[in-house]
Amino acid sequence: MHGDLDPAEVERLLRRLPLSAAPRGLWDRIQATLASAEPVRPVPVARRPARPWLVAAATVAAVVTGTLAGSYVAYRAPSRWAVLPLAGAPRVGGVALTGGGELGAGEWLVTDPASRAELAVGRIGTVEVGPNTRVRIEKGGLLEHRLALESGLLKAAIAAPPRLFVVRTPSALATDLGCAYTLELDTTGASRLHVTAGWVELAENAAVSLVPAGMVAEVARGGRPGTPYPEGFPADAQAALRRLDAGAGDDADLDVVFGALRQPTDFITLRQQSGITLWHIVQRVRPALRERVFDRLADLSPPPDGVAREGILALERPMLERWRRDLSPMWSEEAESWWVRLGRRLWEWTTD
Amino acid sequence: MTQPESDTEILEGCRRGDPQAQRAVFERYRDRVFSVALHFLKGERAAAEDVTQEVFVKVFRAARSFRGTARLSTWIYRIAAHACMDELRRRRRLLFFGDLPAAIHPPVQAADPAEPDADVVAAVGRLSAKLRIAVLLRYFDDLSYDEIAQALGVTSGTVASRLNRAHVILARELRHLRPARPREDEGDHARRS
Repeated sequence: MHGDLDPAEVERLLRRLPLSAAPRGLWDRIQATLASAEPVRPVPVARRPARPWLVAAATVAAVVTGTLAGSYVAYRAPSRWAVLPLAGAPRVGGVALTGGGELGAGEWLVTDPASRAELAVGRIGTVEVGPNTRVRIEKGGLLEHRLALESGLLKAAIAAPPRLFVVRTPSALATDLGCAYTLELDTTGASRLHVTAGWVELAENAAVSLVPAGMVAEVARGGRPGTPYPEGFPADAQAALRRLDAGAGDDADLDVVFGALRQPTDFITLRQQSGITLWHIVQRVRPALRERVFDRLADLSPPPDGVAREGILALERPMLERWRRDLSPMWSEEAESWWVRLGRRLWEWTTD
Repeated sequence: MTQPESDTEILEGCRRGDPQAQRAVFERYRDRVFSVALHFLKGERAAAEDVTQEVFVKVFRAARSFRGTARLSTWIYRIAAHACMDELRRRRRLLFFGDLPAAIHPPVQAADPAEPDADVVAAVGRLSAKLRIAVLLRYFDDLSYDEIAQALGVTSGTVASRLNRAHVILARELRHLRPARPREDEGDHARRS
């Protein structure tokens, strides 16, 4: 650095460190100590102090191990799930159940018009299987419990970390984000999701809809998940929404949807339900209609810091995500791995 | 009786408990061990005396177990370095409990600003303990990096790194001791005359 001494100058100065003479009486003291049995204070010859990073690493390892062990005990699902008939005689692997039974991976649980059953999903919840339903376990483990619903209806009530419980239907993948919901298939394989608590992610064909409690979303076989709408949404508004989702809607369709979204009198409900619907619509309508949806959403809930009109109209993902979190904190839209989610949470905690 | 001369002779004498050999070791290393302790403990003479006494008692008592895998000087400095670090740890514990009477360890003498050497001593005293002990072993007895590494129980690379960091810090702290260089016009004048 400019102005600092040269290394040679430093060495020259250090070689001038003064040598001090040891006191004269020191030899006698040493001899006296050697002659006595007085123990000298032990000198640690090769002891090294505990390294802080080693202690920290050991602590982290212990916490991670404990968390994994706890998660395993709490959330693992056995390979065979308990089945309890609720009505009639549901069939497991072609055998009618009269009392309690078990459903193994790959086996079908089938109900007729007169029967219903309850499945125990490990320790995380239950699934009620409705009449005229075919369902089987695709995967039961620590990281994911997956059911395949081929037809009929199921009601799930799950208390577990998000993305642990998943249902595959012919038209969509419903991922639990900590919730209770009803998932129903029609004869064409189209799915209708009605969430009664928490949130559910409905995904198919690279599109995702996030459905909060009190909202409904649909997806046709081979199609993409539709925009969530509130329970009791008028039929004409639902039809307009489907056209907007398909990119075929116009200003009249927007008018119908906006009119229907005015209904809740409670502002919090209005903000959440209308907000999540508008947040989906803004990404799905034609660019010519996008400004109207933005203005409507901004009236309901002004964009937070860092969210600009131009960014939303350009469908910039980070701004959309930021606004979504501001509308209502909830689980991530993307199917992230656990470590990505953990990293993002840590980032949010440290930057908030 | 002749005085033992080489390290081997001295060591053999110490192993036998020969007072003359012990005295020879003491005379040969006492000032350097005391100086290392004194500078390490920032000029606290009483504490440096205690550490020096402790080092030689340890050397004489442990001479039988010394296998001779290192030079005698390296072994003594190893014991000295650990005695210094141990004293520092002990003092920190006492300070933690508020139990370090000033009468036992008098305050550090302030460096005389008029003395360049005093500035060097004070700057070395401000280095961290790990850097300080490496510097003292290097410059009081010209120990090689390998010998310092053996004395401190670290690798030679670590020694090189610590000395380099110490040099950088001291180069900055002692910049005011930079030798004055003649100005160009003075040089011209000198050449003309």
